[in-house]
Amino acid sequence: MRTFYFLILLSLFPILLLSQESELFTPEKRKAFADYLFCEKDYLRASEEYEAINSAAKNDSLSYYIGLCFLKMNDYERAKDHFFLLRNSFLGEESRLLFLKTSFMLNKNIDVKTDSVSIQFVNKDLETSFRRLELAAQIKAGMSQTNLFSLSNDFEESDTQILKSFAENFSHPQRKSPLAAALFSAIIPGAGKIYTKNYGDGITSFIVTGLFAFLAYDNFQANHNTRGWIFAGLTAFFYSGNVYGSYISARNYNLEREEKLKNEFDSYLNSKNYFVPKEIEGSYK
Amino acid sequence: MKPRWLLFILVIYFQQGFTQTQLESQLAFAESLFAEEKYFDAITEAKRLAFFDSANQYSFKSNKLIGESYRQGGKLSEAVHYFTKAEIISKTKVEFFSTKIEIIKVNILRRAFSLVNHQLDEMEKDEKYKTDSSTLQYWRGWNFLFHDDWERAAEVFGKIDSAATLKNICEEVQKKKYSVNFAKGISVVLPGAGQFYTGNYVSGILSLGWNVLFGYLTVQAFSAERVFDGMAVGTILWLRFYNGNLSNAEKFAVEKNELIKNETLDFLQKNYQGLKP
Amino acid sequence: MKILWLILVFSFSLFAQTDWQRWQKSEISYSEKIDDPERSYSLRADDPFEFLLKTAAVTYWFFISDVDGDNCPFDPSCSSFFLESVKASNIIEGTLMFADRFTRDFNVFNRSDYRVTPKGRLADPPEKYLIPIVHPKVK
Repeated sequence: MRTFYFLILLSLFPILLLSQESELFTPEKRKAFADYLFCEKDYLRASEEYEAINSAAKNDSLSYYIGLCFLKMNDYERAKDHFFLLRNSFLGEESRLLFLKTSFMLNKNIDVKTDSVSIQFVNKDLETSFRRLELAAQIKAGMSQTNLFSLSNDFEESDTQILKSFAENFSHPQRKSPLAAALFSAIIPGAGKIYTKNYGDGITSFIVTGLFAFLAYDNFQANHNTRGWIFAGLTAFFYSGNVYGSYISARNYNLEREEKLKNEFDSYLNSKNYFVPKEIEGSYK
Repeated sequence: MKPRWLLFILVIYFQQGFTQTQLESQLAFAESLFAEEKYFDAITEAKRLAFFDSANQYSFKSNKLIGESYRQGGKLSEAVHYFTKAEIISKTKVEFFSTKIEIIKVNILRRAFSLVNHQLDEMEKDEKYKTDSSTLQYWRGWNFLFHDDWERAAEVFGKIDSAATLKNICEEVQKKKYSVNFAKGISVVLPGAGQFYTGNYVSGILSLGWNVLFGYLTVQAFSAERVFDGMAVGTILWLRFYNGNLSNAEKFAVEKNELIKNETLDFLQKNYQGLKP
Repeated sequence: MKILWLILVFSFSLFAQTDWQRWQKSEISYSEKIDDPERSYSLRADDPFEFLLKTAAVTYWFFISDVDGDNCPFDPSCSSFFLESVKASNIIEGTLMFADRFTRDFNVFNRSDYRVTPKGRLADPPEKYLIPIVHPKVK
């Protein structure tokens, strides 16, 4: 009898063995592994694991995590699509906020009238986050300070001043006029470049144009007409180049300032962590 | 009583067997992906193995596999990172040594010359590796090779019997290479000579031509007491072409040497049958 | 030992970005790739005018520029800059851009900020100076 039991158990061994082969690939185990990968910032692998579990049994929290993975990898387009699909789920509020955030990161304006997600938030924290996002978008779009009413309500005291100065810079950028620069250079060679703060280039232009003009004049005075015309030609060459260059210099000055302001604003917002997505703890649902 | 007791022992035994088999088959799966050159997926499966291996029985193998996969994908910093992890976990001398050599090989490919030398020095100081000193010397030779120091590489390979071919190759390269200082030196005396030495005859003739022309014009201007003209031609034209001649001599010698180095390295990569990084 | 572990684990999160895209096998080459030459001596052109310009440029490069050393601090050298700007716009605008570039080359005083290329030159592509606005491309 005992031997019989023993033999039965022994024969069960290979059957049990076969059924245990994919033990590591059960949904629970895969989720645990995916969470570990997420914590290790191995987001692509984490998203693929979540996707594998999701394809077997659709689950909104998994889709949310996949969206987070894309957000963390700065793949805003795909993140946006995921959060849009979750706008009416049990994670609807967080998803809508993140949808709006990714729209902002993609430099699409958050237009409250035409956007396809509701901007009503029940959760107070999320509502504050949304208003901050909206204000940030308005500042970037150049809305003047006077129209940004709720700035002091929605942001901390210490940040309000900084944001007001950003709003001022965005709405009233200190531009240099390209035409004015060209005109200055037409009157005094190099003046346009000094106007756009390219001091070295301005002085060089002045010296070079002046030198060749002097050489042309000197040679004409001495009746060396061929040489005179050559130097006159060179003077005209450098003079016209400088007028053109001053125009471009002012235009580039404006472009660079704009770019720099945008980058400063973006890094300021990032450092403040206003729109940190909620990372849900909790068991697999 | 006895059957229950026996049953209990068997259940425990089977549980161990199952867990063991699960992880073993996971390792086998990861290794099969590696063999199929699916390195990204091999890393995923190796990481899965490491995550579930709470007893750390497969840590060494999983980390080494991840390191090798990154190496195959050309991601050398990550490869070093995982090989280092494997090295820390290694339990036997053989495991430790083999992982250390892998780290050294990857660092040679990364051209981290000083780091490799330092790592080899550390190992040579260690009494445990006295018998492996020829292996360490061999990789030191490859390190010199990658650092473009063919003379010292030949010297090191000369001390190892099995590396005679490599020694010969290094000596040949050293002979073929041009001396940059020599090229610059003869160009100082005779403009264009450096270019002739490196085989750039057209450039040499042009350099010589311009230098002779402007040299003549400068001397002529000075001898006719037109000092200002002489200085203008001398500095703006003659000096410019003279300096150009020197920089070209250097540039061509360096370029030719780079070509020789690259040709040899390509040859070794494709045709050398011995151990390579 | 534990500190080393912590350092390793922490530092890997800095590496993780490399796996944010799938990658394939890639063999590391022993030889170091030589950079592509800056100048193309090919005389192929879209129209006769460009052909003439290219011929003049190649003649200048062969007889003068290749022999007097690398004197231009900028990345597309002044002659290449001229060719590229004429190609991107027209002869008049190209000439004006070239004149401006030549003046900036003479600047021995304080130069404004330029991005430094790997070879140690100052990046100054023609796109930055064209009208209408062409957003400066970062190479």
